Amino acid sequence: MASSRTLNLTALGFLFAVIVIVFWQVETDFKEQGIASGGPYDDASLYPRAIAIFIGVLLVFQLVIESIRGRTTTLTEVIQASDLGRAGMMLAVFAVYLMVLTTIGYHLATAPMICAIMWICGMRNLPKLAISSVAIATSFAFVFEAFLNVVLPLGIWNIFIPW
Amino acid sequence: MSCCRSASGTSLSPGRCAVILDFLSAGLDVFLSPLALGFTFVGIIVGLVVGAMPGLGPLMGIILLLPVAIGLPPVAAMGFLIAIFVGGSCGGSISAILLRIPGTPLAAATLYDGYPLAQKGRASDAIGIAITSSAIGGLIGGVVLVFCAPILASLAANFAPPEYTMLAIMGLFAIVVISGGSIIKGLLAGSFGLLISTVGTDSFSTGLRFTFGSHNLLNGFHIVAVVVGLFAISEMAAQMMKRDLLKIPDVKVARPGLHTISLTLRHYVNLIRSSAIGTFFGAIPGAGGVISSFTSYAVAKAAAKPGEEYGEGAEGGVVATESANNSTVGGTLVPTLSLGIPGDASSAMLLGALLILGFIPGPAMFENNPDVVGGIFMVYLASNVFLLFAGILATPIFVYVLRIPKVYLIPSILLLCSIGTFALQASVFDLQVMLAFGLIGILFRAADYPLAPVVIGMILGPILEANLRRSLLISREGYWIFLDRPVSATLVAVNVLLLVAMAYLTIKRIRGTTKGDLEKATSPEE
Repeated sequence: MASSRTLNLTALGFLFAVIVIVFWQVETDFKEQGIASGGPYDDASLYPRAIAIFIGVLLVFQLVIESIRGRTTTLTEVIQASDLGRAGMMLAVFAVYLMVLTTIGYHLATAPMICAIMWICGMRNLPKLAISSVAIATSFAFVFEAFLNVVLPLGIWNIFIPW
Repeated sequence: MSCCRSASGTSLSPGRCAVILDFLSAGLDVFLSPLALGFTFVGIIVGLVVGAMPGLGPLMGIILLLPVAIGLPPVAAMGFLIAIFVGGSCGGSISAILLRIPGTPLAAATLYDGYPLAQKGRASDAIGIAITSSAIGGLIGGVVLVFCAPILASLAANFAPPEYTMLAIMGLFAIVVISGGSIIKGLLAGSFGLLISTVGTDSFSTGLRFTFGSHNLLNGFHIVAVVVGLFAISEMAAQMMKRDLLKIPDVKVARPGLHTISLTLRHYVNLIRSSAIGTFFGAIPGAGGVISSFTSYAVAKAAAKPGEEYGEGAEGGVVATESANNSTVGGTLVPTLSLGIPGDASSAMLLGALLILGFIPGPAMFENNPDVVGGIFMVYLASNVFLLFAGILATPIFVYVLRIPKVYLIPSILLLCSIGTFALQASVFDLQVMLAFGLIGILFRAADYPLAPVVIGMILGPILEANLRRSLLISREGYWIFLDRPVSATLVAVNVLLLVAMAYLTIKRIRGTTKGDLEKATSPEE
């Protein structure tokens, strides 16, 4: 599995990508809009650019620290693949839920999402899975729709419960 | 009401007391509404529940219920969130005492004596003492809040953009220095937060920054979507990696009675001293409840009478830690309300809630919205009173909540995140932002980056940028304006000192790490 060093380098890579985006945007979009130069009022790039430079300096320091640590560290915390897999599957289910939420609506999408996550957690009792997922989905809908007047996604079939 | 100007002195003069009374009476009117009272009470219950559940805590409670709160009137909303903060800061002690698992890091020090007390068959007494100490500590912190916040706000009324710029930098530095862990990672996280806050329409030039042609990004990222993703989604992913998802914890029912109030009051010196320590640390941005509870425990242990065996079930140990961590809440609200500088991640969320509700914390709020300021004082004091009675009488319910296995909690929390974030603006885009920041949160957690500085950076970002650019606009000598003004120059000096401290701590850490790793690698145990 990924070592702490790999994770650290991935985080540094992400932050480096953020800096690249800042300078790319300043050189293109900001210049096109005329907000990449001038005084403090007009120059909207001054502040993000300064922060990006600051992040860049910190990244160099962190890389130096990582390289020093890389020579001495021999032990890494290892996460079991099955444990990581559960978290990954939960995120995948949740991502699919968010994708289909507006299409099929809250009432059709939510209970299967809860059911799938409970299954991933290890619950195998089907009646318990079905009852608890429907109960959780419906009780949340009741609180938000009936008490807080939130209109939950209705989906293309306009499914709603008149509480 | 010109309360800030009417009493310019900083001593506790009769005029100052009158100003404070004005705030409280203005706040009383808005506080005494069924909605504000009801939501403050509900907030305490919710706070105790989220505090008691290992892995959640007050910050998560505030984050999860922020979307609900911002639909309420201002004082009811703040009452709800502050009560979650107060209840959550205390709730962690319940699982610390019963399960030997602190519900929140705030309750870690409560383990030392709380769990041994429970092992001696006095779990109910230990929980009662923890709740009473928390409530009394919170009230002492509240008194400090009520007296100190207006004084600090009146001092800050003379601040101009250069001072605010330096204060914002100081808030960020302080969080990074004191919150522990790698300083550079903390600074990187804070800077990332500052950068996120620049997305959207620039308030000066009205130019579009980092919007990539998307109209969804014209107003930037919604802070709730970002925070829910960073904290809640990443926490749920972390919980999924544990192997106790179906386990029902074996918890015995505890029923503390009102007699525990008298048990607690026997330790009045410890109570007052620990509350003072907690309030002091709370008022320092970044210090927070964990440092205050461990410090007050150490002080109480050092001052213990012969026969008081700390670490083996001494009542004084529970009194010290719990009174300190709840009084911290009062302390942390002082800079949050009066300067707009959050003391920790939870108060950053309260500050964010105030901004969403249309109020800008700082001297202007004290001058223009005394009813809201007074209402916040009142809800904070009331939430501690509610904590005392609701906490003691409803403990069996919280103990029952501890028995709910994670298999039910994880999907419920994910659902609450989704509905709450969607409800903000009925926007699916916010849900996508939440998921994206959830993934960033997972990466940051895995790489050991603190998440709190991201939130603080995001909150302080607009304040920092606006005041920096205003300072440069009014300056004829560019950046020298920060050294021309005495208060600003002092804050520059403090920031330089903090930078030096950060450099020193980083070098010390690198030396310690390399040495420690070598020792670890050659250790037979490892």
